Parts: sequence; C-alpha cells; structure tokens
Amino acid sequence: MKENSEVAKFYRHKDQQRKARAKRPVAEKLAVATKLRDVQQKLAPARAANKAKRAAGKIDIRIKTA
Amino acid sequence: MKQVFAVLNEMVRDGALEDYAVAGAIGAMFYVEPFSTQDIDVLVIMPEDGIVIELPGIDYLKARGYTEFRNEGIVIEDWPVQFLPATTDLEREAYLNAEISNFEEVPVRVALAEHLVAIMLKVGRPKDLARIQMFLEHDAVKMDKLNDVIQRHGLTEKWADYNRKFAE
Repeated sequence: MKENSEVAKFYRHKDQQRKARAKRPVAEKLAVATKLRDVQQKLAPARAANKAKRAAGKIDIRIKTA
Repeated sequence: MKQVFAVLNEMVRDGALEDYAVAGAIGAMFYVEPFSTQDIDVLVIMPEDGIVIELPGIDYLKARGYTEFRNEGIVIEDWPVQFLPATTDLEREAYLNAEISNFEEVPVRVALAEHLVAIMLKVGRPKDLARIQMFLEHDAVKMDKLNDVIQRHGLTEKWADYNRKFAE
C-alpha cells in the first residue's frame, strides 16, 4: 500500500491553509457557517437513509482492492 | 451545492470524467451532522497521479465558464471543488464502492462511511480523529465492514492507537 498518498498529503496541506485562513473576518466565517447549515439541513434525509441502511445491514463492499 | 452535483453528473454523462466519489467533509455530512468545511472533495481516477491541473475534465469545466480557482479548487456554483486522484488501494476502493445518494433529488455518488472513516484514520489529523468519533457515536458505520476495511488496508495499528486514545 502506498503510504503517503496524494490525498493524505493534500489533506495535510489543506489543514495548513485552513490555519492560515483562521484570521479572516468574522462576517466571512459566519457566511460560511450559514451556507453549511443550509447544506446540513438538506442532507438530513440522506443521513437518515444511510443510518437505516446500516441498521438493516444493507451495506456491502463489493469491490475489494486489498 | 445541488448545482455542483449536477455538474459532476454531467461531467460523467459527457465523458469528461469516468466517474467520481464525493469524500472529505461534505461526503461525511451524508452520514453525520456538523462539520466545518469550505470545499467539496471529489475522488477521481486519473491517468497519472496529480491534483486539479491534470484533471481530465478541466477543459470541460472551462468551456462552461468555470475558470475561477479558490483554495486550490475549481469554483463551481460558488463551491471550490477539489478533484483528488485516488492513488492508494484504499482510495480506489472508496471510489469504486461509492453509492448513489440524493441531495434535493439530484443523485450524487458518495464514498461509503466505512471508507471515509478509514481515510480519516489514515490521514490522522486531530479533526479527522474527532470526526471518526462522530461516526461511531452516531452509529453511522457498520463496524464489521469498517473492521474489514481497516484490516485489509493495513490500518490495524492506527485503529488500535485510536481506540487506546479515544475509546471509553
């Protein structure tokens, strides 16, 4: 298995960027929070469906790469 | 957000992308609640390893007027979208097994919760570990499937370490 994937490196890089952006204005942060809250509300049915699927054991990993 | 997923579906339909799997914080939000993020991470299979500049569908997006880059993502309908190459076995498995979910009646292909948690465990930033805790607390993963993924992808030691630190 490739240990240091592009994705893992990329997420670490993103984290550094996030820290750099932490000092942005509060109004900007609130705008992002509002946008996310809206998305989270709209995703409620998907979350419920996914939880029910797992409760019913209807999850299958069909393709295994390792 | 709805428009972003619609554009991704169009990219697949028109052959600009073979397929995709939403991952990262937005992917996680299909399973558990509060997350902080500003962009949408999308796993794709690419001819060669690389990030966004080698995206097969870049010309497709530019032709549709999506030319702005923000936080290293291509901005689609005000959301920066990061196309991440699935380069490891775990990422490829997440991509291949992603399931169709729905966002306001738009189909969207999302990585399974079990793969998202395994990827978080592998990346291992403090916020990833906090998110894993949320998945577990909300019964958002099927534990036998998660354990299988963890074992097959060589994450057993990290999982044991996580449990030593966080399990009650």
